[in-house]
Amino acid sequence: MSEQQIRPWETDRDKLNKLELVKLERDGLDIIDKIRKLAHQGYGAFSEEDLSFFKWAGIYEQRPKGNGLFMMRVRIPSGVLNKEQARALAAISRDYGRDLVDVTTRQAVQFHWLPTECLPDVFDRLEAVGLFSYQACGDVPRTIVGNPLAGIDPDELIDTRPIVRELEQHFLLNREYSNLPRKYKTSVSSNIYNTGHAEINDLAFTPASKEIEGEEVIGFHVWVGGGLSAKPYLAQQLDLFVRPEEVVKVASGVTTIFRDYGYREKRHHARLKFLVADWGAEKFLEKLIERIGPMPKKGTDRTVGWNAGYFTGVHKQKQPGLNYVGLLLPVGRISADDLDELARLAEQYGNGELRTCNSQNILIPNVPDEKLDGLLTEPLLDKLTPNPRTFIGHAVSCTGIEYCNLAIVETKARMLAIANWLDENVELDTPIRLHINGCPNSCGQQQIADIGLQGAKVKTEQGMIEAFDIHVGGSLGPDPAFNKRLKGRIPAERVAPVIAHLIEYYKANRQPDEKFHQFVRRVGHEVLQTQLDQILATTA
Amino acid sequence: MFLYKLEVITQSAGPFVAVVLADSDEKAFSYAESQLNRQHLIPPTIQEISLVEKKRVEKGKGYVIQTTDL
Repeated sequence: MSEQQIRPWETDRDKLNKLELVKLERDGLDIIDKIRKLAHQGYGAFSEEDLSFFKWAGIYEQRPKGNGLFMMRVRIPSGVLNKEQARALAAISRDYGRDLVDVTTRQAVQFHWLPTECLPDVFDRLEAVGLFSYQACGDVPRTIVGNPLAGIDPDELIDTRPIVRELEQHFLLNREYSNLPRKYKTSVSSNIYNTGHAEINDLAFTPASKEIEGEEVIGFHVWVGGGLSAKPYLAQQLDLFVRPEEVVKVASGVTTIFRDYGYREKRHHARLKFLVADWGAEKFLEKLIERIGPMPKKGTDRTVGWNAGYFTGVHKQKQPGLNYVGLLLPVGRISADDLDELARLAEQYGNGELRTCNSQNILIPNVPDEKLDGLLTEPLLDKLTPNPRTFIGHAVSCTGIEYCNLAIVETKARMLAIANWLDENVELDTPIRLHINGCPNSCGQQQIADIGLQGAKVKTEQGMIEAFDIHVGGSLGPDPAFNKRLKGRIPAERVAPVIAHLIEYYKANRQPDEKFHQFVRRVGHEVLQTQLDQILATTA
Repeated sequence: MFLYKLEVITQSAGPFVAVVLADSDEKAFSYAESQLNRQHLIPPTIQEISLVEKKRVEKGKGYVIQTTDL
């Protein structure tokens, strides 16, 4: 950031929290060079303050803190990954990360167990293939999520890959944006089924069209101020139409408003959603227009539904003769060997690309018709199947207590067990999305699930057991709403049968084609509460 | 060290939320029960005690707990 330029928030330092005062003295991105210079000396070479800035390099201390092992997140803008990048990720995981790669709910990937000394080498290996962990965490623009089908999608209005690339280049390592009040999440998608989960991002672009001077122009509508965490908030739409070539200008304007007017007194009150909630969409738009100049008003919203980011199965691309094959990564986890093998399959059967999804899954694009059968008979697809059973095919999980300092319970293995049990015991012809989270924060995005599970520990005569609160009825647009908690904490071992009972009630009382979240909203939360009360009263 | 939030349901004295400082989940349960007992001449029988949230100890960390009858 320029030394001469005084930002609005710098004039009243009494209104800055402790980290903000430190951020005025050192730019978060400086930590990257420091890690490169000192990491060979080990964990002890870094002060506590240094470690608080590791986030700007995409690195968090792993549980338990203080043992010199780190989680690293890598940006995968819009989920687009080539075979060299996939192989580089697999090799890093194999050499330093105990063979694990997790795909996140923002299309990024995460390593665990990285020792301090390896970090510069990991930076180098990522950079060599055009990947970056920088700004994957910290008070900066995070990885840009979007349509994993960009460029191949029969349901997109335009190919958003060039826009995402331009935005990524604009934000990445740009010190104009390296000191935002808090994390800042952007979504760009032109898919009519809201693949970018627009309503839960700080800034989102969704497909739209508008007649301008007698011509239909394809572009975007803009949403600001969405986010989950402890205080979930749905983004508000601005009365604004954006041509594709103006996305960077608008994104830059929104980001500088957040940078200059976002709240910095309390960290838990610093996300863009708090500013948007206070100002409202109209005032926010006024401020934006002051910065970027006049813009056309909204056109026609072209979003028609929400697919929750699920693409498993074989599907035709918009290019005749080509297909994409969506594969299940159970709860987002893959081994280094399997990722390597996926890269080989992408090379042999596709054009070498893979795409990560915010449903924690992965897909192989650009498979010609004549190569489909060969791909579908590959042994890896027995494990990472394109035809998953209903529940495991729609299950999302946070990292859980295995790696996370704040989680109360284990989640990934638990979700696998719950989903597999349901698949064995419940017949269902329509998906029900299950999300699990090990704490009240939202890495597993439990608030948008049909059925969201939030972990707790309960003390019993047999000792501490894991238990879960059940939340029902969440979805994104159209008609977006977060799910609501049912009273009654369920021991982990009983969660699957309890969910089964709720689903049987739904099956018996739903209307034709009514999805679970629609059913919950029609019959009312209390009806489901009564069902749960009966289940808990009648079964041991 | 973490600041823990626990929810306590008792048979006779109503529900409580306990906030305790502890360095492990096990100790958080123990401290919460101890704090609960210190609030009562006759300790209430605990029906259910659950650990629901933990935060790293830093200046300013805390919980806001909604109540219905102040």
